[in-house]
Amino acid sequence: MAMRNKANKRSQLKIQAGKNQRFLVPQSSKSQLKIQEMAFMLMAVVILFILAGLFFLVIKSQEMYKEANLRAKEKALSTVSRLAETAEFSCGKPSCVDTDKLIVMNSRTAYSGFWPVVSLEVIKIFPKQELVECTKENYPDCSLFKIYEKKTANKETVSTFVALCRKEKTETGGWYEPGKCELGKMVAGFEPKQPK
Amino acid sequence: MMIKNKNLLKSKRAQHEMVGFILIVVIVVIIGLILLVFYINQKPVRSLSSNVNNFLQASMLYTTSCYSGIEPLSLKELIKSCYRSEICSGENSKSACDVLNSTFSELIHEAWIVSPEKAENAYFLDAIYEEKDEDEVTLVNQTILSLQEGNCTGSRVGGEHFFQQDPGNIFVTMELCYT
Repeated sequence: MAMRNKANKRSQLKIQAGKNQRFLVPQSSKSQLKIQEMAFMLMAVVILFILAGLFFLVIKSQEMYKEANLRAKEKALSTVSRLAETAEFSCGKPSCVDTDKLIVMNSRTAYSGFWPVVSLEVIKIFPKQELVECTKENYPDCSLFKIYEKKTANKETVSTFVALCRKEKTETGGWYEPGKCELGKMVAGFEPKQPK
Repeated sequence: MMIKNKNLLKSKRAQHEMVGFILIVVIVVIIGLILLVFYINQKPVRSLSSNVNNFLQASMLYTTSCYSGIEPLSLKELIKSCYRSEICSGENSKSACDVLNSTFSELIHEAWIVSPEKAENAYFLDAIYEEKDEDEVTLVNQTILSLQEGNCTGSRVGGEHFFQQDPGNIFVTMELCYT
């Protein structure tokens, strides 16, 4: 009989534990806390992923601009190397520019936009002399041939070595062959791409 | 007694974690050091440079102050003349090799600004006459000109230009050191 009463009381207590608010409150706040914890955790993870994604995007876009600028530079370099070989400039030998042609090209506007560069100039570097722009009046005692220039806000340059040759008589009365040659640089400008 | 055991257990676990952490740090440091040593011991990169090639090609046409008879010699002809140990005709009558040495040094000096503070810290230039037989066995290998300036650090870029000098060839090679 006593055993039965004890079992009864215990089962009643169990039922109370299910219904009584005193028993329910702590359990519910604990799970709420856990849900909150998980929500915060999820938010933190999402924010972390967003930040990592943004970081990745910034780095990728910077790399893309670098790559685009490198391509533009390579294009300008290949253009400037090929230009020395074209009929408009060549003296007939590889890497050789006829300066007599350069002085004629100096004032030609027909070629503007013909070359995929924003500027094109040739500078004499050896024998060294003061930087003087070449005109028909001071040629050949000058060192800078400005062939083409497009006005741009931002410009970078690439250059290649060329021999600068011109027809000239020697002191002994003969002709220099292929001409009297000096060393110079053909410089081309290109517009670098910049992040907006 | 039980509390004491529990504390002992906790402290042991903490010790294990600390040892694990230190082990990870040590492993990471060792890997870092290995990578650093590998990076430092890397051999300098050698690559071809179109700019150096263009320089050599363009400079070969340069008209020098050395004359052969009434004809002024280009740098290429001057190298050949130096190989034949000729003397320049004209006022000074210097040896072709002396003129070659001074002209090429000045040319490089103006074209490339070589100094320890700049990106290009050193250069090497050699002009070599080479003669081979039909089986590609070298018969003659004679240095005509050898120029150098600066202490080479960093990677190397270079170029080569060659031309015929019967019965062999003359090779002009140039290397630049970049930091």
